[in-house]
Amino acid sequence: MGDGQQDAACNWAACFLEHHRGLTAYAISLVGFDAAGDLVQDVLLSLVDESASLDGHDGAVGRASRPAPPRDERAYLMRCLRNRAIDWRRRARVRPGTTSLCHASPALFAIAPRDAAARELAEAIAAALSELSPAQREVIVLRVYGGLSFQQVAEALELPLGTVASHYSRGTAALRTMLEGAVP
Amino acid sequence: MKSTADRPPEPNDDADNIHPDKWVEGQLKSLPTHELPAERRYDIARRVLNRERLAGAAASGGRAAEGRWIMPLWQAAAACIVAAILGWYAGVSGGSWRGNHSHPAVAPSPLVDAAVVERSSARGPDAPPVIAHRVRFNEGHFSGRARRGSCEIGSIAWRSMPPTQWE
Repeated sequence: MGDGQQDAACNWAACFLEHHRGLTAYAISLVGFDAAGDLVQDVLLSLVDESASLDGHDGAVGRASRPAPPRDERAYLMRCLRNRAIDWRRRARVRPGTTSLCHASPALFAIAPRDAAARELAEAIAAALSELSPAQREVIVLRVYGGLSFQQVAEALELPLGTVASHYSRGTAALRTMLEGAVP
Repeated sequence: MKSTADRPPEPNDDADNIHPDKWVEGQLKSLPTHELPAERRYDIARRVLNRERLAGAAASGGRAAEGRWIMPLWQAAAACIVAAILGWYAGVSGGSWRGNHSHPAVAPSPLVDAAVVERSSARGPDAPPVIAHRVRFNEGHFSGRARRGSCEIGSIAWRSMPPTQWE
């Protein structure tokens, strides 16, 4: 295996190890805690297969039609997670529009079993996030728990930056109103 | 008056007219989120590396089958003659190519080509795990090349070759 190929492959593994917290948090919001690890693994292995198949057809035509490498690996991984979660929903025959793709639940948080105060706070945060529109919720989850910048959120969701800003400001305004009463 | 385009870029792209709501973000971040257990993380990284190795081997096999890398017969014969002469020279000069590490022409081969490293001095003791390549064991220390430069390796959580070849 050439160095270039190896470096390209290890980029995904290294990228995962570096950003696993944000990736896991977003995966939990997409498919739930139990399937989050499987979703992340599925996406990473698909990325390796995809780059290998492109390398295998690296002739003049292949090189010309080869997509440009992602500008931002982290945003690209988040977008791949999202697309794969949509595939999983289609395969499970979940009808579009019945439930939102990105949802918030207390399972997102690592809470000690006997910590009642933390559990209450987690439920309050999850309830407040659930009140937002799906687009607002996804922008805020990617921003806060995924650890992305606004530009990366825009790339991950394939939205203009202005739209992301609008979802964010409206979402945080609503959350402020809800959390000010709920959080001690 | 300078236009917007003349201004120097901001250090981070969060400053482009979007002001994060620190209070709300602080409330949302006040609880830690779940993360995958360390074993599961290493397992995923190992699977990704192994998959890439298999894909790379398949791709190189495909290239050989296409005939692009097949060596002409006369070149193969010449290579055999050169190898035989070098082998004879190595035998005469006292030691095999693999075993004689004092021979200045023989560099120690990498122990592993990739490993998941828990800590490296270059990134600090609290740094997240990284992937290192071309891990060697020299003078009592593991060293390798990480994504952001070389690193001294504190401990290795997973390695890409079986233990029999590792020692």
